[in-house]
Amino acid sequence: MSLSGVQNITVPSFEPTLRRLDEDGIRWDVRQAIAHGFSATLLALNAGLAPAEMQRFVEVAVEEASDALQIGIEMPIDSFATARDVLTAADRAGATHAVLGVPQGWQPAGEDEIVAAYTELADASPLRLVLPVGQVGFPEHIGGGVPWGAWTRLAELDVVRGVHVTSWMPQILFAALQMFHGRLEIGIGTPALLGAMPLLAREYGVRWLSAAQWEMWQSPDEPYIVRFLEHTVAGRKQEALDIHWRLAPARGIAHGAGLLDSELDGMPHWPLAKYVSWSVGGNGGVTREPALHVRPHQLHSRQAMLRAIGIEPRTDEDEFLVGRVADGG
Amino acid sequence: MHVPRAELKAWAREHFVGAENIVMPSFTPDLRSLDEAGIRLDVRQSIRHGVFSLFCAIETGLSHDEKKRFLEIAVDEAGGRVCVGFPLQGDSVAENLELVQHADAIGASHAMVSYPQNLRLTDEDALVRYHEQIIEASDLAIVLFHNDKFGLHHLHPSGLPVGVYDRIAERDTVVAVKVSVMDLATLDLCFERYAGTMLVSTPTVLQLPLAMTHYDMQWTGAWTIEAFQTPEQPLIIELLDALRAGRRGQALGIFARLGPLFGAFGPRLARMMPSGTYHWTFFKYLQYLSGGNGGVTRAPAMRLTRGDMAEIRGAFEACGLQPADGSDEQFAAGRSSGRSEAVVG
Repeated sequence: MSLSGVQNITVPSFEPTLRRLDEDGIRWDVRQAIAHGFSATLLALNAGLAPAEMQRFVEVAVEEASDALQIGIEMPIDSFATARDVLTAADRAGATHAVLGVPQGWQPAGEDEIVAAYTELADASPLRLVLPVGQVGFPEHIGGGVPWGAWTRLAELDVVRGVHVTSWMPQILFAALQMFHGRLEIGIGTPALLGAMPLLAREYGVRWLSAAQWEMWQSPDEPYIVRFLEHTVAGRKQEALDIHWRLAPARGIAHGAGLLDSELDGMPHWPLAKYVSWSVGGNGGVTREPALHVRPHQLHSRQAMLRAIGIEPRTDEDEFLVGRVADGG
Repeated sequence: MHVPRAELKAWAREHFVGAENIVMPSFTPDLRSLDEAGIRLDVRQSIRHGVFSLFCAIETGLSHDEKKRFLEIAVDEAGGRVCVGFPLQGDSVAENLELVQHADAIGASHAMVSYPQNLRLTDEDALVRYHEQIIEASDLAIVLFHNDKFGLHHLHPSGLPVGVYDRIAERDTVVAVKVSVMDLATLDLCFERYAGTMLVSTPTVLQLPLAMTHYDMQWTGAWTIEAFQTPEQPLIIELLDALRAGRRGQALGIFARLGPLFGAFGPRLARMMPSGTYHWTFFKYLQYLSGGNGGVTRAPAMRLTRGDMAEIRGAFEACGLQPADGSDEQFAAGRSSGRSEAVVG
């Protein structure tokens, strides 16, 4: 396993009734991630799947990826018990790593409780683990929502390999660099910090864009983010910046339209993620309730942001609603 | 203050160290006149906070004469103890030229370039001419200002008017540039391109650790420093000292302590920053909490509710900061209400 390159997020596809996984749709999206040039994709397990479905989602994705793409998973957040079972199964299936999450309703009193809970999880499965740095559900009274002390202790475990920075705040990134540079692979998992990548690559050796919906900014034919990272890591700063600023109009539209509001109070906007993916060739299809809804202006803005960077979007929204595979490919 | 033009860049290198705070005008309760006592209180308060400069926000509903008078009061009260600057945010180019000359005559230290709403920002030549008019109009030190709200992406993909700055950065009175952007690549571009000819700064507090660790950055401003500290608990001043000295752990500790205020500010700033203007009453309330005069500002203005005040006050206290005496009910009129001398009717 190598925590480097660009890691996308893959949201599960469902049959049109939403009762069962659409395995062909999942395979489509895995092939799509490969076509984008991503090094890995993180499977969104917390998208309304039963534990057995989570395991099947992983098996299908790993099989389709073969050696062309690493498959990571987000930790199931229904409970630590489910997380243990799924991580163990995912490791057996061939997944490469898991990003830790915070179980619903869990309110750890302090850092010791956090260390104990995740150490137990690490002991249960040999799957490599990545620590999230951002607002992922920890209480505010613990490090402002980031359990820095616990993460520092967990970084000592052999299976803990990376840090996934999701916060847009540069001082949080700075804190992560101070604590983990040289110890763990540091990934930038938010487009808000892309502008810092030349500095981060030069000063800290950062070479990983960790799990985010990087499809937002590219297509298989115009893999801007993948090329941006390649230039950055190779020290070709000007070439990287040319791409970065090429994307500026898209950033403006995305911000203005709320396309970067990827969650609401901790609930990910999976249908919007599916739409974003579909608009550049992904399978599409909606997700099970409860789900946030895609607003009409977001559809139009998504199309506008792609056109602003020279990508022609898919626009047949009937196809999106059921997914490309279900619609006949 | 008078520094020969040829010495201004060196003067700035020596004096622009630390933080520059914003001072907003105070008004009499009927908002018809400037409240001189309130303004003087806020100037003294800024000095108590430990800043090197105070920055008079003239774009707060003042007439042209009131802008000039506001500056006169601030310069007089500062008495040479700190720098006094202001934004060239008059309503026309002619007004800005008059302001910069007036400020030079009364002893202000610097002016920050902004663009009148009616100035067309279409091409580099026009912008260079505008800047040169300002540079030639007085011997005042000039701070350039880049903000995404100016919408200059047609001049450079970063939005930074590189072709303009390249032609004026070495002018003798151009001492610094304030880069107010969220894109760290644009900030990086500015440091790499101009750090040798002028003092580059970000006013975004969250960017300070990266900027002060990896670039030659010695000042930050102008922003409402008072929002995050009190004169007795000067956390931002301590933060800047720590970053300059490489005490990164201490700096991160201060950031952690200020978390509740960042949490309370974030959504408000996110709405405000792209708008092109500021929530002056919000900032006045922040200053009031740490002992400033307070008082609302003239229309057009955004409103601050009791709920907003309660949330901000709670965040202030959650950071371990001790609010000054004075209730939220008393804020609207300001501390000096009833004791002030109206200076411009």
